[in-house]
Amino acid sequence: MTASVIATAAPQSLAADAPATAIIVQGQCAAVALGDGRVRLVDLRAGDAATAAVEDMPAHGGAVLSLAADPAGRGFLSGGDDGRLVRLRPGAAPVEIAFFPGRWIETVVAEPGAATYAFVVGRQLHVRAARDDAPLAVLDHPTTVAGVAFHPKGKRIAAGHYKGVSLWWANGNPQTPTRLEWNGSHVAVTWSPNGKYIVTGTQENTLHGWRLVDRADLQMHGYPAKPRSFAWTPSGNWLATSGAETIVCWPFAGDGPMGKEPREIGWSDSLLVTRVAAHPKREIIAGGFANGAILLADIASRDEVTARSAGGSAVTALAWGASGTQLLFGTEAGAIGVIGAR
Amino acid sequence: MTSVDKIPVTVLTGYLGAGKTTLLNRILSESHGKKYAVIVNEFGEIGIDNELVVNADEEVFEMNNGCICCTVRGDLIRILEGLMKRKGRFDSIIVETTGLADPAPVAQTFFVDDDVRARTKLDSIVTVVDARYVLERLADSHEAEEQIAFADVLLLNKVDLVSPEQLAVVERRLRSINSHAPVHGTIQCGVDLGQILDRGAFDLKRILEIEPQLLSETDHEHDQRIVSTSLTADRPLNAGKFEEWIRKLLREKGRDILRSKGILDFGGTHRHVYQAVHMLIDGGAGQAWRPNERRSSKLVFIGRDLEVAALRAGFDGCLT
Repeated sequence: MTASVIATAAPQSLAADAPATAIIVQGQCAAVALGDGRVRLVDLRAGDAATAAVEDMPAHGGAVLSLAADPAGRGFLSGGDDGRLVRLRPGAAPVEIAFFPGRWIETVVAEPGAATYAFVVGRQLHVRAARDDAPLAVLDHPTTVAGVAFHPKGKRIAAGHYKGVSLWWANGNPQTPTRLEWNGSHVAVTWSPNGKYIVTGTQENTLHGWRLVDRADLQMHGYPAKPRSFAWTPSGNWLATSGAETIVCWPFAGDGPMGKEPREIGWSDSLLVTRVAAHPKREIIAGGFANGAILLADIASRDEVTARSAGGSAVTALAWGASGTQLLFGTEAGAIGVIGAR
Repeated sequence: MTSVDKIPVTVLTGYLGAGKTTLLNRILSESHGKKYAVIVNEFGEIGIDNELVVNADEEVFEMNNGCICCTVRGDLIRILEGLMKRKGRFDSIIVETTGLADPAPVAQTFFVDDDVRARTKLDSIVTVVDARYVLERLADSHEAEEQIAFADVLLLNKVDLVSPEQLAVVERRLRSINSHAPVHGTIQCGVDLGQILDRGAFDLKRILEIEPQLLSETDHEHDQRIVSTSLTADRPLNAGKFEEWIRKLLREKGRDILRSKGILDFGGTHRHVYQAVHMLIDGGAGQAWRPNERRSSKLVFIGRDLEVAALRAGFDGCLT
């Protein structure tokens, strides 16, 4: 083991027996969304999964499809295929915020700066005030919104759909969106930490990006699958992506990745990377694979370490704790756990 | 995940009022112990209370991949992915399309999207036809013709509302458009569900025979654009020549050739099973030939303005 890569402790199991669909960490509490309607809250203060306090919240009737940290603090927002948006807090019963019968809430995102959150119902993007859940805007799109990202300062919001991305102000003022156009269906969206780039994963297994200052297009081809999990390193210099046999990292320092090669780290014998998560403090990426393996890789040195060995089903959720000493994962078969790191 | 684990998907098409919802209600009420997810477009018409009825928006997307007629159902991709996140599996998924829908984007979704292919398999396309009005629909709507052309199974519904003579005319007309799909005459979609579900019509391993109905030229309406034609051969085909011919043919004519399907003798130990939806091809080894079995090749085309003589000549050019 080289010094640049984190040492890991054996994964501690918190087996859930239902597919993990998302993991979000807020402060010292992690939430694991599950395919049977539960959200499992894990108190990370124990430092040891075996003794961590776990609380299962009956959040939804079907699968929990989306999860975000509640910007109002100390809890989470979840969306389900029962059409409900629910607020979850440790030690309290789930509270329904909105209900759309017959619809799915596949996306919920929260602004890091704590004033608003947004969720998708079909072609509509609903923006609400975090303080009192008051509706600020219901934004219409030509087709279903498949991915949403806030600007890092939270004032704007980007919605990906068929043939491009719509940019909106995240407030209640009447407005027409700015459209970033590109053929194909945009299924995942991320906004760079410096606010200068929007990047999407597409149905055609490519990444597409826009440099907002001059609307220059970035095209990144060669993925064998749809790239739909994104992670920016703390410096904002690298965007790590899923969808290939390696963790493909694009350089966004300086004038962006145009004309540059990506850095590929964490190769795993032709199996696809399904989730990526960036360490909160160091330029280290965790990558989860279709065979359940999890690798940690240092972008600069390309050193890597296996944090969870292969076996079982695909990694479907992956997130670091705020201090970078815990990596939470979940798989399609319902294995969930915590990997200690230092 | 092996192909055994893939969830079969049945697509229900049919013109407005033909009886799709009746059939859907029948499937849900007779599904003893089976767990279905149903994807519908006209939410609320389903009379059965089922938590797994999902509302779809029927969003047809062109793929930005250079393939000119490659369209998929974007909403279907998302819904199928979402269903796979639920704990517990389904025995089957049923997709109902709107009455005016072209079935091609639904079928192509199962050829094009790798995530969908990994978890589900297209089982068959079932088209419900109204025996009373289908001839009128065929005269004024190309969608009705395409839905019949795409079918793996045809449900000729409301047969009690027409005379035996009219019924014979309608049946002949259906067979002239689509000669390879079995036709089941029904009243209120009363059919043994085994005839429409879990048919494996797109499963290369299960296709043993293609039995096109024999037709004479006079069975076609003179202005009918979509017809079926079948080609047969008793001598083996050259695999390389066939591949080259069929790829070129579908590249050039794949817009008008809606479906094609074949069981072919390449001279090897196994049947070669081939099928395509427009330009998208699937093919592979089928069942083994038995020793001393009389081998033959059969190929069916269903399409607009088929040039039968040219197809025949191209096919014959592949013979060894």
